[in-house]
Amino acid sequence: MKGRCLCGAVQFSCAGQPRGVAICHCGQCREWTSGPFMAVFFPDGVTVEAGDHLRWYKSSEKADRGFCAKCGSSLFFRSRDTESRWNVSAGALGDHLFEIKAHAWVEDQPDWYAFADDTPRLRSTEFRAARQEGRV
Amino acid sequence: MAAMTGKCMCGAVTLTVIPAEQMIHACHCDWCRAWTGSAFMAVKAEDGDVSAEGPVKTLASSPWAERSWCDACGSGLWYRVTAPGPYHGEYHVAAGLLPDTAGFTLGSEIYHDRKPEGWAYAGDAKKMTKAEIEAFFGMSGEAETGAE
Repeated sequence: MKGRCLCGAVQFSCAGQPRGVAICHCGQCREWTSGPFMAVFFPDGVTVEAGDHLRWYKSSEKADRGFCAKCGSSLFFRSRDTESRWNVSAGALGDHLFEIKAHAWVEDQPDWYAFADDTPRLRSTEFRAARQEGRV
Repeated sequence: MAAMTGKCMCGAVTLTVIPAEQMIHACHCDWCRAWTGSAFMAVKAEDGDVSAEGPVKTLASSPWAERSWCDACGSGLWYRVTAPGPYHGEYHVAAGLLPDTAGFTLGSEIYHDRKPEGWAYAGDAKKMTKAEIEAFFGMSGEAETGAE
């Protein structure tokens, strides 16, 4: 499955099957992307095919976030301890349809939006456990 | 409204915004989705009502608008109209940069027909399709290709 940023400078290919989408409501994702971040989880990772403008920012001790330095697209969230496990911007994957698995970090969600689906609303600790167990 | 201060994810960019209204607007167009992961959630501000300090990068992403972000962490900062006309200079500032949005509501969802199936925002915010919004602004959305 192929993806790209807004301007096309960063292009990539996702390996294997995605596990689905988690919608993250944490404050960092909101500052990064304007609102909730929709990320498709690829347990088998991503191959960056055009990466000269891909820049990584260490957003915590545990994770890095990748963006296009030429257009500012938010592209990847990757845990540093498990480098094959990439969370990829759903918007960078075009019109592919993905199953929403869960909402994450709901304790940080502001009250100016709400989602209509009925997938699980998980607090950060619950989401980490669910991901560890392969449920999301 | 009173001026608000905000910052990007890493804090390198700080900004002061006077919101035009207590509303947040969602854009589901292909370019906003590629830029943010899903919809771009923005607060409108008039020309002159936004100031920023820090490493701001800007791309003319279409013939009528530009997008700015933090060069250090990639946080999207704003979409700004560059085309001449009544909206020239208008900002759409990323809502997530503003720490205090108490009382703000989701005012509209534009390019709603470009939103992928499978999820939706709840509520009765006004919804406009790609054709409706482009007729309203008298433009064609096919030209936003960025710096490719």
